[in-house]
Amino acid sequence: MTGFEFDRVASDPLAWLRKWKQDHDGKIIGCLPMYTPEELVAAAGMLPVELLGTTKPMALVNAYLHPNLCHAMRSNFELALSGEFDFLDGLIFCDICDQTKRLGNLWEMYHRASFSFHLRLPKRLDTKEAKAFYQDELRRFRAALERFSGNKVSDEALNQSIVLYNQVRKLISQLYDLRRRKPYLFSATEVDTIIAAAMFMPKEKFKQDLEQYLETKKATSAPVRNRPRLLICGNPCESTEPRLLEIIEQAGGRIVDDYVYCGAMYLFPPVSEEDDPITALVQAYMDSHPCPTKHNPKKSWAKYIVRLAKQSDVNGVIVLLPKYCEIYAFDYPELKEELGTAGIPHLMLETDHSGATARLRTRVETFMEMLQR
Amino acid sequence: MKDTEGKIHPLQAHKKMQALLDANYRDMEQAHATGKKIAWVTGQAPTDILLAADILPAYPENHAALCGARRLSTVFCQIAETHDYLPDLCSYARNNLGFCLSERRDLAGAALPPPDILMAVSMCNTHVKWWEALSRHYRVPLLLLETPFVHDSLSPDDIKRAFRYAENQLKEMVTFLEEFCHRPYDYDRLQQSIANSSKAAKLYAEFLSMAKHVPSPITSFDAFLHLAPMMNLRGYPEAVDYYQLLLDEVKARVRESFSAVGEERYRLYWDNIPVWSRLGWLARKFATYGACAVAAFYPWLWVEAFGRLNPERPLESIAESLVLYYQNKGTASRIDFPARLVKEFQVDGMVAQVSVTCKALVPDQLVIAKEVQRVTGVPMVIIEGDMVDERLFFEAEVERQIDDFISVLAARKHRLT
Repeated sequence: MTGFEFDRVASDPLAWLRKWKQDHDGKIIGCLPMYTPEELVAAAGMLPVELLGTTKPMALVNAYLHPNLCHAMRSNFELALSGEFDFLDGLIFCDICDQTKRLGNLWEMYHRASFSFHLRLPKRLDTKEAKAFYQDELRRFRAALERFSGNKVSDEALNQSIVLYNQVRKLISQLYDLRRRKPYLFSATEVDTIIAAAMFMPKEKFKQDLEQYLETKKATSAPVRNRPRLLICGNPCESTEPRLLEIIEQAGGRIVDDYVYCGAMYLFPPVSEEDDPITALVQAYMDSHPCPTKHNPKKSWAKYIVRLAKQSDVNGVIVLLPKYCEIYAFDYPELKEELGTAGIPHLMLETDHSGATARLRTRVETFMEMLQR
Repeated sequence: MKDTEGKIHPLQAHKKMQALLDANYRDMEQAHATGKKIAWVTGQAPTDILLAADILPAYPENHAALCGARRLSTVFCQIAETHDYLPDLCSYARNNLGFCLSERRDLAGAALPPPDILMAVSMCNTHVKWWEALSRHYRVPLLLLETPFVHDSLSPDDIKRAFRYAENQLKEMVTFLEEFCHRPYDYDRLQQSIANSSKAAKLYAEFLSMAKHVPSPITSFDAFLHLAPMMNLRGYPEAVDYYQLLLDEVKARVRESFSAVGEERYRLYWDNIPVWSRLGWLARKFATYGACAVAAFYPWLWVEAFGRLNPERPLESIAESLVLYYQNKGTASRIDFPARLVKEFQVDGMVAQVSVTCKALVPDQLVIAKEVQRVTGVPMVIIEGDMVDERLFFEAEVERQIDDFISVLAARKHRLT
């Protein structure tokens, strides 16, 4: 619990958004994770929100999708089929992997929204050809957003949007610094709750709340207890199970840093405020931190995690791999090797949001015992 | 009802194919000794670009299928798993990575010498991750062609931008290869190779179309087996000659009204990748009922990728073919093709095989199957299996499903006549 609006947003984002829509009469655009340049959607005067799926039991989706597909894909489609997303005015589907591409296709076939856009994010981040392609793609995106919203996305509006998002990024960086320095100030799910809220709230409002929250937080104190410092990583495209975070805390661990989607992966890196705004968005994407969904021989996700673990001075790393997410699973052997070479203990957990936590609890507790020995 | 023996009738050309493939694997074995470089490539990689640089392509997927047919794959998959590749990953990939990570060359069944360079296409994301892992393991460069996805809502101009992006990457590859091989790129050889690939693909398409005859002279299992030259020999004149020979043999069968399954009672459509480890079992099982798998979209993927290549526009036509490739297209526009096969090949029933470790084809497979069934009115059964991991094929269950499905087809036939 943060004691801020974040709690209400994160506990039931869709209910919060429906209420927001009633009060503000604005257009809400659902973005299928990951990597939508939200700045453009916001500059068109619409509210971009991330589609984080659901942990509720699924039924409708089984008429269309085989059970060996990832939870992010299945649960988002379940929500679409059940009408839970009907309040959204439009949808953005990012080309991330074979599953997410197909999800967008099926959504359009069986539950079409009045506006939907497939953003062909390049996979290759190692060639200027990809950059040129993405530049064209963002121009196409901008034009589509203008047509649908009826608002012109001027360079000025886009620059303003970039500035606002960068301010949010700066505050989130402060939040992460504080957690690294004084992790005992935070409960298990606190940062997760704040980032989840960032994915739904208008960024202006979020920024104000986060400023206040940080002020308050900096002034608080709590007993410094010596607990194993942990980094969690992995878990692309969806939220981190709050129950899992609680289990880690109950077992005596303390998360001091992360590199998960509902965490440090969202919104980073910052976008240049000097360049032409589209060029700046493209460059930020090309320079983004390593992610197994992208191809860049010069950047290694595994090595990046090791660097992060060292920087944050952690005692161990918990790697979260969503069941049936092939892309992340393929990079796990390399991560295991790099962590081993660096002498950093780790625990790999396959997550499926099933709510079956007994096995996870045992494994987390064993890992904590090992770290405390 | 079981009045046939489940006898299958291999084509004579098979021996010739085996000899050609053996020679190809021998070339690979000797490549390093003769100063030739080897590239490991994905099934639909634009290998003509490599052939023109005198680089010999090798196919880990075909190798995996071969291991599967020789029932060695599960061992390799298990080896990959002991190296932390999760059991849910593509079994082709686990087979190959297990092969790379193990020292057991006696198991391999065929040589696959280590690569000097790698080439992959992004239309199957598994390929990208698998080839990245190979690039780390062997510390060799990876040429990746990204083919942006062709969603149904894209305009012709949007698609043209994808062509341009693909073509520019191919140009980069050519520049890279000149440096990598220390010699100027041979564009004449590229044109020859492309001409060979496209001719072979067209002949293979004609061979596949022979199954339109009633009774069908071949089964889809023949089509799967004779896919190998479309990979290993693509770009060489040997592939063209081979498919001509194969086609001539099948045409002779047509003239004699030869049926591939004895008395042909049911014509089936096979959806998705073959179960390589159980190909013979499935072929005999169907033949027992006089059921002939006459069509499958899988072999046509190679026709799509290489049949439209044009030696006059080498790089452009490679870019266009691979961007517009079936697997790279939106789901709604992927329904017409199987529906057309079902109609043109006069199919009575569809067998949709879910290859449970394939993340490229499974996501919309059930939806496509459902839509094809709706459009054509042809009944369907869904069975589960896998490309090469035998632990994922439950024979008793599949056998029961096939038996039941044939009863459905029999009752339907009875009603219709």
